[in-house]
Amino acid sequence: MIEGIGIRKVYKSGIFGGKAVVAVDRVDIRIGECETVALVGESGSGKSTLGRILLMLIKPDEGRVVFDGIDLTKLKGKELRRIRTKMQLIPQNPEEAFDPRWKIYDSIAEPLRIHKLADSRKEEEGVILELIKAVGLKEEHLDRYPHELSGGELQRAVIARALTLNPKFMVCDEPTSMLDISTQASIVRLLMEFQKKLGISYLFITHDLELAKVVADRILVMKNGKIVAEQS
Amino acid sequence: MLEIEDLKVYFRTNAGIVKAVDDVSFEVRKGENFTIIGESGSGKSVLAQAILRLLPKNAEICGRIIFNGKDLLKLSEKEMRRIRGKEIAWIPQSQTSLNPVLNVGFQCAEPLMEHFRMDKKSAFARIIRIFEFLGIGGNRIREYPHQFSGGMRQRVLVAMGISADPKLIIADEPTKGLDASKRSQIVELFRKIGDKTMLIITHDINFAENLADRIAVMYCGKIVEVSPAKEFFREPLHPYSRGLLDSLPSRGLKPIKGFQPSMINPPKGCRFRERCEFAREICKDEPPLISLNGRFVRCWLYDRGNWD
Repeated sequence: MIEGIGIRKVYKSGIFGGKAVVAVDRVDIRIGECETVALVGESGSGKSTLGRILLMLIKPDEGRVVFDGIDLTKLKGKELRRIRTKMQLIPQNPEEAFDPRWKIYDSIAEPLRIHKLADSRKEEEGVILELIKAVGLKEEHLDRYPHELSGGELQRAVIARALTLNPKFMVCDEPTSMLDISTQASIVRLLMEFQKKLGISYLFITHDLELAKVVADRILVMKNGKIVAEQS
Repeated sequence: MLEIEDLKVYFRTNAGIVKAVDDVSFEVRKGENFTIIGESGSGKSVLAQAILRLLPKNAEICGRIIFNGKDLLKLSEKEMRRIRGKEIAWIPQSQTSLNPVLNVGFQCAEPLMEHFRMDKKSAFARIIRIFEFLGIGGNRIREYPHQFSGGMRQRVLVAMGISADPKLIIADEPTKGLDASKRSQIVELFRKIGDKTMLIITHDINFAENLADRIAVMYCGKIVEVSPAKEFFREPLHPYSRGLLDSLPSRGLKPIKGFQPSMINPPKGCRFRERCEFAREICKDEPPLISLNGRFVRCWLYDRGNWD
């Protein structure tokens, strides 16, 4: 499904790039169809960077990202954008994921509009209503601004937005670390339910090993930019 | 040591009255670690801030907060100042609570200079000792908050809290925003200062399990259960407590159905009733606080007179 081969990313700082931090150090990672791979590690171990590289939101210095047989590192902007509809990110902090000046409806509709997937306003509305119910929100939430929703409700809206384009692969970057435990349980259950229904592959980034054990088919442990252990 | 009786904290807003804390009573005994758990929006942080009278002016507080025989709600602001930091210390959440333009040493030494009239030199010397005790490293005393990682910043806040040797420490979500390994370090840290009387507010249940002597569960402005920690984790009494524990990944990751009700218009009677699998007709009446082998629970299930 998606594969990272020999991925390396170095961040340089200082005037002459004298200080270098190796965020991801020649990592190989493979996520199969409908599989959930959990990536655990401390903050600063490079797990978020790796997740973003697989989505090509960060360009790796070395290595290749292969999605469905296509090498993403060789693609040009336009082609990449087309493939990106199949890949989505669920970020850690839902409050930062939405434009605070936009209503939830517009934020969820944006991907449809960018990729011109709805022919009419009515069709767009239909798609969004269906999604919003699938993630457990009500129609009234669509007319609100992000600050008027609780953390759990916002994360549901983020999931709805990620699902608008029928993705095949999602990176969930600590999707519940800002949420309460009982909300965490319902959000994680929701994600797992969609996986079964829609056949999505997940890279589930977390620092909670207990949570990883429940969610994942395989667990990768990352430390200092390297994958140091695997457990299935 | 600290007794809270019938405490109510209401906020008047345009949308109506928010009953953030509604008729809460409990006591914190000398030397124990009393932990309040609950989800965000349950009113637990407001409760802690009410004790130190740190709430904004639009908060209406009534009831009694008795600390060492004095009712804190009756004290003047000046008298309250002598209690904050010296008698009762506040350890806030780590992210935003340090002043970015002052070095950490000064911020920790300030209560010493303020309350004990210590000079700067001896106050700093004492802070260096506390820093070393907490594993920060005394040489970092002149550094600024941005030079510290999240876990270290939390240690600095703990240092600030215990610097004046307070009788009671109130900590608000000490593990928020930290990853798992840092959390266990903070647990160790709190163990180190474990002989102090502490009131801890958290939604991190693992943290509570590791440290607490007694647990109180707060839901929607009410305390629904108070139990000794061991018994609580073996057998929670209130259906909400049970739901909370069952939603832990290690205990099955089972979500509680439904959503938290609005605080402006909470359901009448038991506030958990709409999400509760045991809800019956009687739950529409306010459940009494029932005492059960030294534990307290606010639920009709335990009221023998009402069993069918």
